[in-house]
Amino acid sequence: MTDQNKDSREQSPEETGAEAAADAAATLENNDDYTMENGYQWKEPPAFDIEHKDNCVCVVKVTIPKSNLNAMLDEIFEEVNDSAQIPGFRRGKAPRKLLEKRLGKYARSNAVERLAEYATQWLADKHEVAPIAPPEIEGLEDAENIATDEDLCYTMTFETAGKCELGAYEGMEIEKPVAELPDSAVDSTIENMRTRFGRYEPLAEGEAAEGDQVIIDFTGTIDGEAFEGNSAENYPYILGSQRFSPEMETAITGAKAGDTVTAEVTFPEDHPSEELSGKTAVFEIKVNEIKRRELPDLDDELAKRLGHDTVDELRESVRARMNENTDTQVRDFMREQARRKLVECCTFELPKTQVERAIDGEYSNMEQRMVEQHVSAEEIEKHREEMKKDAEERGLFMLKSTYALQELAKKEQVEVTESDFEDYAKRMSDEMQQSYEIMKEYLMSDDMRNMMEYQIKDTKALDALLDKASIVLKPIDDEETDTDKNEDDKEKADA
Amino acid sequence: MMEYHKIVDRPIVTEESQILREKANQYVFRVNPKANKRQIKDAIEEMFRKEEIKVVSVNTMNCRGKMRRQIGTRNNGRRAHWKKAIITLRAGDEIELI
Repeated sequence: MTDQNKDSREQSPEETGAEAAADAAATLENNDDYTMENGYQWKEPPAFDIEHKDNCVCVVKVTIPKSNLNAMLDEIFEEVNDSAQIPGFRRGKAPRKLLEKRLGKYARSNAVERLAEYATQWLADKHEVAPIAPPEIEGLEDAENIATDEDLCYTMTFETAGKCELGAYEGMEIEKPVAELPDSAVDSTIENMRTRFGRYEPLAEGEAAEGDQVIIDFTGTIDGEAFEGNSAENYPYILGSQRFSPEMETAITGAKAGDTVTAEVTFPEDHPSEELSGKTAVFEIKVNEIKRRELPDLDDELAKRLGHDTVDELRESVRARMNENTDTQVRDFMREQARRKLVECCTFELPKTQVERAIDGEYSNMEQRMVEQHVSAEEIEKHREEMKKDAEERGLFMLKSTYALQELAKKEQVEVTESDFEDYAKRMSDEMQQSYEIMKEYLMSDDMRNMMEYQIKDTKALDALLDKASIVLKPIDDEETDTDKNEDDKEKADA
Repeated sequence: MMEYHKIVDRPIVTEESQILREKANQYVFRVNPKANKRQIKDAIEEMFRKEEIKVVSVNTMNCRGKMRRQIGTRNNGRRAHWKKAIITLRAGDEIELI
């Protein structure tokens, strides 16, 4: 066995082949065990002639010694014999020769297939060259009639996983936005809460102003003629909500209960109804009632309705929640920065198909989103080039960041523990307002678990990166954060 | 004389025939029912002329064709009757049937 292997080694002409063979020889000297993880045992290990090309493409010439093929055929016939029904024989009793005549083609192609698969596995295990997709194989087209007295030779072409070389990521500058939460922000949030508890109370006297709810009857005519949807009775309308045209709003503003006002409204040219576009209508509006919104006083009673004992407590809890909110935002912002910087400082070698797939996926995602937002097909068509460019950028970035984070996680020895999973599930259950048990069960299914592991790992890797980065504090304009927060809080309050 | 391919129809390859072959160097054929033992012997020797075999003895038996029922009709038929020949070769001779 050893001699044969030497022969085949001497035959391999290229340098890389010799190298590969040398590797094989090394394993040969170290131990005579060619058992693979899946339990298959090579009679003689296959020889590889590996050639690396650009874009992670790898061309490998594989030589599998014939002894393996024969052993594999024996194995397959043994398997087959138990199940094959040959007329005249009980199962498992047919002679090998008959089986070979009847099932030879199947057995041979099957054997070759298995050997090729094992060889690829072996290649990945021993030479650390692993394809990311099934390799393209040349030279095995006639596997059915393969000669059993020759070594099995073929060429595989495949792409390996991309490579990422981490740059100097330690000590990169990350901006940390800092902003003191102003009292006014807290106040406005509480004001919002009050508004939600506000009630419309009928106003006996006084004029309709913005923010008031008016109950109106109205009839509209164009050149003295009625049109569709021109009138309504007891219609509740909130001034300033801008659902009616501004002319009508100004007409109603200032009116008293019982007043009748008129408004001239010119419909825009692009009004969906042909009947109305560009026409001027006269609306006669009778104000039946004016209701004004009464806000509850900011006192302990309101606090109690919101689940707190006193106003101060309410204020504190609102402040705490807002702070927490900004903290997560800041953290996310910093992580995103770290991700970008990391990708910038690394060098990549990426397989072409994977890049293409990432870009295509990103593009179809964008298209899907646009369709969901009811963007017309023509509009999409118009922006196709732009979107493609955008998708290219984003897809590439995503792919790169995946690789970079993987590499980083390896280097920083980031591990995902069970408690991380639980934290994540807890956070998700808070966010989605689901009970923790349901969330956990959902997240612990295998698919979700994998996804979750990736996410947690990425986050942890980024955090590790942030730990090593130099943080630059950057104060933010109050105004900016103010509006940001207000919007946030509104959302929260609405929820 | 009938030609040999008209005499010998086909070899019968079954578990039983394999056992006969291993234990007694006997080979089993399905042959023309009209053929006699001498004809069968000649035909086999002629068929495997290259192997230069010698047939020591020929045992024959007539097998009745199996009844076959025609589903949906009253016409019941049967498979053809046939003759089985068990041929013993000279010790050491061998032929390839599979």
